[in-house]
Parts: sequence; structure tokens; C-alpha cells
Amino acid sequence: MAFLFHPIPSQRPMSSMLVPVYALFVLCCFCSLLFGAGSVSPMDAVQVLLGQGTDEAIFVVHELRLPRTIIGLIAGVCLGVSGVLMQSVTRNPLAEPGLLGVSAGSAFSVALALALGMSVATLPIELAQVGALVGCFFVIGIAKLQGQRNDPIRLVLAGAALTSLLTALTSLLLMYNEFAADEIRFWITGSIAGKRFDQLVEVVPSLVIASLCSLYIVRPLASLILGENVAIGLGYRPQRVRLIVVFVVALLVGTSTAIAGPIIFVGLVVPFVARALVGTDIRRTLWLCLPLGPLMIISADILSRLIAQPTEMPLGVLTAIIGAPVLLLIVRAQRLPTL
Amino acid sequence: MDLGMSTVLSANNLTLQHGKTTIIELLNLALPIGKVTAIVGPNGCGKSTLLHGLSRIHAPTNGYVLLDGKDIHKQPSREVARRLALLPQDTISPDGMTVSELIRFGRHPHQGTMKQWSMSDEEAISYALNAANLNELENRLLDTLSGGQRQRAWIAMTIAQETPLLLLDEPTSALDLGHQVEVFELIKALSNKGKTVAMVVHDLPSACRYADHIVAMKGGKIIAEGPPKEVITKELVLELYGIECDLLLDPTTQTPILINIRRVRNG
Repeated sequence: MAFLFHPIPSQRPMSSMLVPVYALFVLCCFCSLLFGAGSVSPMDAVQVLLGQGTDEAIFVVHELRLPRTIIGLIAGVCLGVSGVLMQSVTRNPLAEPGLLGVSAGSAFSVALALALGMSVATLPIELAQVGALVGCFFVIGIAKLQGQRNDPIRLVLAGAALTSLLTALTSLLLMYNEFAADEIRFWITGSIAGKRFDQLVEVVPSLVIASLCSLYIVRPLASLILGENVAIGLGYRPQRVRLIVVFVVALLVGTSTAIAGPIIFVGLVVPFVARALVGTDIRRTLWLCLPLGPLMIISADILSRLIAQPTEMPLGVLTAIIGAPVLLLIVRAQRLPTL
Repeated sequence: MDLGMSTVLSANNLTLQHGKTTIIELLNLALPIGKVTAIVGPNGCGKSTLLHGLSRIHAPTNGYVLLDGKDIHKQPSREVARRLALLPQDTISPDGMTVSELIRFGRHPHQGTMKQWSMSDEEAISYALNAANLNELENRLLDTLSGGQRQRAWIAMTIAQETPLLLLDEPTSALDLGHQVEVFELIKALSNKGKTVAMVVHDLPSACRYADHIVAMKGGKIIAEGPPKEVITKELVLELYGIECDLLLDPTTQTPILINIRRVRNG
């Protein structure tokens, strides 16, 4: 049994970590269906799951909690995976869609559309994806200007600058458009309440494309860890791999932002936890980030329903409360984990 | 093991630039098959750039690098990786990676995204472990190895690639004398089994000792080429490094060694 908890994460058998994390993930999804701010108790919800229950309970579970859980699941997968991809490709443990301005780019494009009269309900997710893509290229462009491609500090600084600029612009939009302000304000802090199934079908193509691309680049990404020229020697094209990563991250972050608003820190915390469990190899961490992302978002969402009863706390606030200490932990670490 | 020994690598009128600076101009070179070629020369003479050009890291502005008679940049990179292995200078040994995990990367050019690990992969790994004498270190973490052992693990990764050609960029640059010998002898043994090797080497006596063929570069050009005993002269050493010396033949290996090295007076 001792080998299951090998002191070196990279040497632990994958199953020893996958099984408990996936079990926890399934448990968390059930809890998300059982607990809520309203009058439907966990026992009532269990009855609904068994095919009985009152009309009110059926409505709450099927029409409110289930879509909400699915949105948390999708957003969690998107953010967890894009976090691990970005950190791997930049070799920077701080690279995260929320910190690098990708989420902010996506959020700004959505806020702009809302201010111009669109409503959250009819918002095309492509809009958020294009915003994320522009954010990606912008931050890469700034960080590259000095020809310092692999400077982690420059990248994070550029990301911080971009994030605050776009956040300020988004606030300006709020000031000048009171009509859209309420809609934007709740969305901007990340809320996974009140979404419907038909909105969710739209994201399926993006997720399929992103999954296929991720499967295609996971091996080249793993070899890039050995050094750029080693990867070339093994027959990979690092430049092309990086482009695909940018594309996938934009797809995923855009999707997540469109359905759940800009949620920060998930892309940072999830890969961090995954690495602590199974080491730095992306061929291992990727499979753990899949359940860990939703696990973090859905548990934060459950907490947000319970803490502020009978109202709800915006999700972005809670993920930040969970995420900030982890960021501080990374900063305080003896040495940054090398990727 | 059949490595398809006839694979040839050559440079034809190769011109390589860094931005607008021309590093190498109109260079012609063919690597002797099954031999060890050492590229030597002073700092900044373009020897590493040449190796980058030969290994398709650096695309030429003019001329070609030909692998089996075809432009290396016009062939799929994965197919090139099945015939040409590369050990660059800027390798990174990740935390928590074992020797055998590193060597497994050498099989990537032979596997697809979906293709599973096969028997031939397993055989190539155990062959590489044997050839590099790493059997007892198989499960050790890279960061617990000595410099020489780690470099042998990297070379083992290129062995697992099962290529007829191997290019190495200063494979011994950070190693002490004992570890240098350890690595050079492994390279020599690979060549004895039929591999064509080209390496950038800083140390001239080591180049003479372990290479069959010397390529001496200065200012982006090849100024002398051939077997060490014929190529290395007092005049060449003076031209390459600006130093005077006397030459002796090593009594056991019959390769040139430099003695009485001194700065040029009135230089």
C-alpha cells in the first residue's frame, strides 16, 4: 500500500489519485443537486432523484439545480484544462486565464455586447471566444515585444496590465449604461444560476473541438518540458503546438465565460493541486484537472448557496476567496515549482 | 539492429543567418557514413549554428540541408526524427522524472497520438538502457544522477529513437574529465555499431581522440576537413585559436595531442 502514497508525486500510480478524486467529484455533483438556498430540503431532492417528490421539488431539482450543476461542470472542465495547458506551454506556474487577461478579454467583449443592447440569454458564445482569443494574442504580443519569450515575470506583468485595463473599461461601460448594468454586474462576478439547457447545447461543438485538439497536443506538450530543441529533435513543431494551445484556451475560456461569467483562480489552483498529487507531467495532470476543475467550482457554488441564504453569493467572489490563499502559498514556497 | 546505415546528411551551399547577421555562408559538407565527425573551432565560429542548421532547428536563408538527398525542411518532421536524432545543449531535466521515463520520449517519433506502446518500443528501451549502461539506474530520478550519468541518460533517449544519424551539441561541455570520457566512449561505441555521429566539441585533443573526421571552422567557413592526424597541424591551431603549440602523437591512440601551448608573441 505504501507505494500508492510515494513521497514523489510523479512516481505515484495514476489510479491511486484518480479514483478518490473522481469519487469526490461524483459526490460533489450529487450534493449540488441536494443542497440549495430554497425550501427544497436534501431529503425532498433525494425523493426527486428516486422518481418521486412534490412538483415544487421536481421543478427545483430539474430546472434549477441540474442545469446549474452542469454549467459548473462545463466551466470547471474548461478552466481547469485551459489552466494546465497555459502553464505547461509557458512553463510558468502562474500562467492562468484569469491572471493573464484572457478571461478579462472575454468578459469585456461580452460586456460590450450587453451594453450595445444584447441580452445574456441570447448571447452567442463565439463572441466571448473571440474576446478570449484577442486577449491571448494581446498578452503574448506584449510579453514578446522585448524578445524575451520565456520570461515568466514579464508575461504575468503584461497579463496584470491587460486585466486591469479591460476591467476598467468594463466598469466604464457599466457607468454609462445603467440599463445593462444590473445584468452585467451579476454576470461579471460569475454566476452559474438561471441558465437553461438549450443554452448549454451551443457549447458542445466547442468542447468537442477543444478535446480533440488537447488530445493531439498533449504528447508534444509533454516533450516541450524537455526543452524546445529536444521537442524539435523528436519531430514536433513547438510553434504550431503553441498556436493550437492559444486556440484551445480561447475556445475553452470563451465558453466558460459565456455561460458562467469570468471566474478567476480556478485555472491557477486546479493545476497546482493536480501537480501536488501526480507530478508535473501533463499526460498525468490533464486527467486530474478534468474532475478537479468542476470539483472546485461546484463546491464553491454549493457554499455560495448555503452561506448567504436565502440570497446567493456570486461565484467569482468565492473562487477568489479559495484561490487567493493558494496563490499566496505558491508565492511563499521555497522555490517555484519548475515546469 | 538495422538502422538503415546508408542514410546521408549533407549541406549544400548552406547559408544561415541570425536576423540580418550572416553566420554561415555557402557551406558544403557531407557527414562520412558510420563515422564520428567532430566540428571544432573558436567561440563564435558558427559551429553550433551549423549543427542547428543540420538538425533543422535553424532554417537556411539559402542552400539546403539534404537528408537522403531530399531537403530536410520539405520532409515531415516526424519522419526526419526517425532517421536523425538530436541532443541539443539546452536540455531540461524535469523534476521527478526517472531515467526510463526520459528514454521513453525517444520512442515518440515511432508512435502516433493513438498508437499504443508496442513490443518494438519495449525492445528499443531495453536496448538503449543496455547500450548506455544504465540498467541499474533505470528507475532513478534524473536529479539524483551525476552529470555524466544524466548525459548518458539523454544519449540513451536518442538511442531509443533508433536513428542511423545522431547530432550532439557540445555533449561534454559541463562535465569534468572523468564524465567527459564516460560520454565520449559511449558515443564512440555507438559509432562502432554503425551510427553516423556529428558533434560540436570544444576540446581539440578530445576531438582528435574520439573523432574519425574533423571539421575545423572559422568565421562561418570550413577551413580544414579530414582525419585528425592529417588535419591538425601547428598552422591550423594557430589559425583557429591564435595560439602556438607543438604537436605529439599520443603513444597509445596515435592521435595528435597539443603540448607547450603559448600565446603568440607580438600578437
